[in-house]
Amino acid sequence: MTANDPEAVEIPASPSRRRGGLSRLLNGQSNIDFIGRSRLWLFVSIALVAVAVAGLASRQLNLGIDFTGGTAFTVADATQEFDSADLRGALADAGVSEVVAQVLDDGQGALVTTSALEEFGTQRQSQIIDRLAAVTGSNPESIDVSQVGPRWGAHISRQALIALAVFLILVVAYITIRFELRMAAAALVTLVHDVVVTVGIYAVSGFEISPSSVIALLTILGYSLYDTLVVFDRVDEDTQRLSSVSTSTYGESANRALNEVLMRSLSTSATSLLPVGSLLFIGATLLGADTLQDLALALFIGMAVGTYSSIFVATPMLVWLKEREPRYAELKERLSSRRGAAAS
Amino acid sequence: MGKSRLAWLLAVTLVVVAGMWGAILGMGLSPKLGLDLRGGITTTLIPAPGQGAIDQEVLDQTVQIIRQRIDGLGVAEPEIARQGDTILVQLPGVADREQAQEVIGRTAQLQFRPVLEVIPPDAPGYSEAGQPCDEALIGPPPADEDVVLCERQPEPGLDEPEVGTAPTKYRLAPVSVAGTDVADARAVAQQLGSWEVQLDLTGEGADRFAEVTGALACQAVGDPRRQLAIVLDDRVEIAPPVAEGVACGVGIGGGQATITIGGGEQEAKQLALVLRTGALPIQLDFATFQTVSPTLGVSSLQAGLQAGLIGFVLVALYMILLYRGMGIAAVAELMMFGVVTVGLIILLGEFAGFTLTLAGIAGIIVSIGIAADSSIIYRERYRDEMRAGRTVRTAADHAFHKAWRTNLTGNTVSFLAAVVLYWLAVGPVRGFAFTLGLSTLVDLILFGTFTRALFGLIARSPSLAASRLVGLRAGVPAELRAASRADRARRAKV
Repeated sequence: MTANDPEAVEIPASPSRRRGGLSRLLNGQSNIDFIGRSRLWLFVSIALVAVAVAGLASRQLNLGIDFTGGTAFTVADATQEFDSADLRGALADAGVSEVVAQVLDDGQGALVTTSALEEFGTQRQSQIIDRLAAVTGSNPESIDVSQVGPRWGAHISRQALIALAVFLILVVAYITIRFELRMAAAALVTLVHDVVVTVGIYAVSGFEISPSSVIALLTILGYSLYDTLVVFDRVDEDTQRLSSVSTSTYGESANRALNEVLMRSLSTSATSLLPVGSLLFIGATLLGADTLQDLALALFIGMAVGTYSSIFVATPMLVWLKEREPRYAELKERLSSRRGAAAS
Repeated sequence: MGKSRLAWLLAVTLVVVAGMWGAILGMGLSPKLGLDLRGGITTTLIPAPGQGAIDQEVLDQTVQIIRQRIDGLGVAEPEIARQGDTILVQLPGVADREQAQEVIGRTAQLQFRPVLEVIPPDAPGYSEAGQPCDEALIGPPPADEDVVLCERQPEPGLDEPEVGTAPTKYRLAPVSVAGTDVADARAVAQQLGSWEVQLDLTGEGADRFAEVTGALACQAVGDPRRQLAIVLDDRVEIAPPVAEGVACGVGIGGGQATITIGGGEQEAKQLALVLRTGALPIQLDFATFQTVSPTLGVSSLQAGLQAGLIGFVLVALYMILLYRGMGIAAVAELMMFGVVTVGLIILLGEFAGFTLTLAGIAGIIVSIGIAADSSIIYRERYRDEMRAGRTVRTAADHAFHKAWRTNLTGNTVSFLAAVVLYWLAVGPVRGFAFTLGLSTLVDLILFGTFTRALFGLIARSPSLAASRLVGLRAGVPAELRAASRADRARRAKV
């Protein structure tokens, strides 16, 4: 093992080189060059963000009734056959058009949503319930109503934005105290990336946004940051040993740290996505779980984006920032000239 | 930490957790479920626009009045709380949707205004006066201006179209007595089965009431300008004339008045209720109104529990696959996490009134991932230390300290997110943030106690450490281990 062979730092010359990628990963000997290919990840991330922004610009977000105002009727225990046209008919009788009607739970339940009916507690509502009961053969008592006024959406959106701002300020302060300002900056860029991409996925796919999606978005920020910090913690530990006579640059040290925590990152993503995936599955198949489903969908998307960004966005960003510091820039220059000399 | 101290740590942790569950089972406690899981009505009220900034004291006062009004309904355990600048009303088990909407829906502002002119639907200029009656005003009618308002009409039904039933309009003078001047109002039965409403006014209100009724009494009997309109929101509830016996310039004094109405008991009680509690200091709008039947609640609860169980089993299988015997220890850590978190939620429900909602259950399910992550960080770190050539025991100890540092950093951020969400968010978000924050704390505490002791003790047992099933040496390439053994052997020779 010689000092001017960068490969030797990561992989000892050993039989393990012949092993497969999975085995190397499990043995903590993966040697993927994340930092060296930062331009590629930069391109991928910029492409993702561009698609997200284009999606946001060209397509309206599909806002649920919590944001637009409206009424949702949930029917349980239906006893006779009906289809969504019957459901729409029940509301049309009451003079309500613009209806989204879904049959759920193998025809035993239904969800009928309309952006109209902003008046609360009207007799019209009771009559719609009676008609829905007649169409589905369900008991009027087991038809639930969820009604949202037109101003609620603006209210909760404002609260969410305040929460987001406060959270970001606290996070930057915490990371600066715990690590340093450049890590806080890199983490912040990562967070913005995650939010834009997640919202973009909602715009492009047309998934409905409910308050649960907003909760989930804030949770994702916490999760993505958590993931990023676990990586940064290791980068911080590994790069603290760097001095002007070190044999690897800041970028190489960070890359080693990334490889060291790679198995952790993948395992954690798996163990986080498994419960959320089961929420998503249950939410999609069982009645009365739409809160769970909305939440799980946003979490699932966001966690996937968060895992990607903690590896491919946060650390390359950090390295880019750190290698602008004179001491790491000098180290890099010195090492590259020395390696150049050794190669020729 | 030595072996005996680790054993102590493990024992103390187990005793504390057993004690907690002993208390829960002994007292027969169960989680306090939210209305989305057991059925009921949940509604959020928000101040109507156009009232300027509203201070918290006024909102608290409003909450009080709504509480009194709901107490009049006889609902068991209603919960009325202020959340930021909204008011959350929860009525468990209320099946009568219309009754609840009727009572809470009257979130109105009460005003007494002298009548200037009565405009019946067939009068010339009816349609030009004021706003059309099927449009609601935005915000309360301005208190210091003349206004034209419509009389309140019963809700038109679907099957009875509104033909020829246009309501009477009233041109009204500025507010003379405000709803907040009303101290009390009650329906009283008179002889011959007729009913009237008795009204008590506060000190200042009494003076103003005497003044305005004295002025109205100067008008001839039968003149519309002898009437005093009672206005709720933007509708005239009733506009009774001042009685014949009242002297001009003297008015109705003593802070007491009686309103004789045409209707029976129901109308009188309704008016008394409006007078008594319609006096909200601000006007509120419904922001959300949600009914959940017990059927839907139970099915949501089942969905949440099923999702949690499936998620737990999948994570457990993954851990065992990846870490063998140490994976089983990780499952024990996860189970401990679940047992402590659920126990705390039950205790907090009992002693701090925390209710578990569907969003809260989602928070717990999400936190399974966080708890599993602690175990993963520890195990991966441990493997790193082993690859560096440490012995099982020292690797376990070193890994703990490093993993603890990482875990603390990560959990701090998750906890920050949960706290910010809890303080700033409204509605169901709070339940989610609470369980998420709680889980983060539980995870950190258990990591420092149960996980540390369990891992440390296994690493200190020679037979367990050597067992391939436990897998303490798995994931470490043989050559790295061999090297370290060879090193030790060489050192032993020297």
